[in-house]
Amino acid sequence: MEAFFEALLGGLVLGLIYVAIAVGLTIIFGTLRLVNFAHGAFYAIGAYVGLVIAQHIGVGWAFVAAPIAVALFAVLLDRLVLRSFYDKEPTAQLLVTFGIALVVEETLRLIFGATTQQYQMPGSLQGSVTLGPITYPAYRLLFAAGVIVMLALVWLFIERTNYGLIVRAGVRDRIMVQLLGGNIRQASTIVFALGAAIAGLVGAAATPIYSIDPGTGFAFLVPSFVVVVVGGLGSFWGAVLGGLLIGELQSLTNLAYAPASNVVIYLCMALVLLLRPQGLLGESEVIRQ
Amino acid sequence: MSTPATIPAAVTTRLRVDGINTYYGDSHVLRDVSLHIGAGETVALLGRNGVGKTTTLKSIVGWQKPRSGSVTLDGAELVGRDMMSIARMGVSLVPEERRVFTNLTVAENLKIAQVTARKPGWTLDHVYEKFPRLRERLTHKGDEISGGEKQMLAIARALLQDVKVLLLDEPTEGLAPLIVREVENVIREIKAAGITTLLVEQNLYSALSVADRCYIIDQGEIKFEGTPQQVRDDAALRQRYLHV
Repeated sequence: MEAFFEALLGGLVLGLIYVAIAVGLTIIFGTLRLVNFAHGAFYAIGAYVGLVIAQHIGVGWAFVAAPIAVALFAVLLDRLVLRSFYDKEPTAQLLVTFGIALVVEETLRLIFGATTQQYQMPGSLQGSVTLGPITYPAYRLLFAAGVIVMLALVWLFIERTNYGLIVRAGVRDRIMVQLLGGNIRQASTIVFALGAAIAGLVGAAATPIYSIDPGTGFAFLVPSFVVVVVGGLGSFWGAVLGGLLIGELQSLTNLAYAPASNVVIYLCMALVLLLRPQGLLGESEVIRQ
Repeated sequence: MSTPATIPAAVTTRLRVDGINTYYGDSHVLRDVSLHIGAGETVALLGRNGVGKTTTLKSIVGWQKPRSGSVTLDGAELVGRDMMSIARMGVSLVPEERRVFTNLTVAENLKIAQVTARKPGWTLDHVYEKFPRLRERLTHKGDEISGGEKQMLAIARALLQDVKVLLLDEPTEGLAPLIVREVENVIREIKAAGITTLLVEQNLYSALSVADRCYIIDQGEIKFEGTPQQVRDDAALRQRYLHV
């Protein structure tokens, strides 16, 4: 029973990482119609920036520097490369973002080497907390709470601010937003930077839990795409539901029969695609340009 | 073209379209289209399906950029600007399909027009006074309201901004006769408010009942410019270009 509860909490932590990456993917797709295979690279860059800052300056600064650095990188990438691919077919977007992801991975390998790395949290956060029958690392619980707070803030930004209103309108009809005088380009840049910053922050914050190597971006990207498909492309709550579902499924399957833990998420995706092709909370309506 | 411009001398030209040529790929859709609208005028652009009416409106707002020619608003060139800039200068298009944001509520659809406006136009109270049905539907999503309500919402969105020229594309299309009359009344109120309007309509008699002047476009070329009365009186003209 203890192992079950531990797996359940482990699934929550893993699922929240997927949620954070998938929310970025899904709001970027919703607003820009961009299938962004470079999104995992944002996670990896955030993780390495966090690692360097944590080791040389302090853990607190890592959580500040990583999202800012990744957001700046994303804005540069958007301006210099991706903007000219917004109106291209998905294959072209897929190829260019996949290429960017490979360049980032190899650059990280050149700078940091291929070995796995991790940084330790300060002593005060290394303890454990007793939760009923189990003891669980305090930092993992803090991480889960932090991701939930961050997702709540992102939701408030999207649902309660004027920028969020433009973003939501742009998800449905970019042309009409512009016909009303809305600056969809600026809103898109903010969304892209926000999605990247979330991935970067989670990358930095998760490094004490999951060690990193240059391939980390892809390792988290692929399940996060599964999450987006399961939850419904473009749906915030779909990403939340899908992320938690996939995280728990992977973690509990790992407990029951570890070799199947990666296969099960693709089976889940296939099942959802068969029964509800638009995803659990996705809309079947064709979205306008 | 049969008749010269008939804007009264005292009325200043607000919008001038001068010899624009617009293409879809290699297809030459608008051929040297010219028209002008005086401040406070309501002008109808008439024509059959697919002759270039909507493309004219799209060319004015920068949605479909003309390859040559000029479009000016109070003398300021619009060609070369993007849709956002043109909208912020005061040219507002209510498109044929209404393009209400179906994922947002009616209240949010109205709010986004206020948020994106360079300068405010009508107040919300004024909008609710003119479109009382919208007030009753504020919490409904854009896909939960009727076609007539969508049209009212699309027009209200435009009026919440400081609109100098309102472009209405087929505002009565697909609506029940009773709702068509409501929309016609709204257009009359817009006219009474002194808002310069270019109205694209296939519903000939609806357009003639509100327009000060009208143009007829056929195969991408302006074929007629004159008064509604001239169109009413000229059966051959109507038969030739409008098939009515």
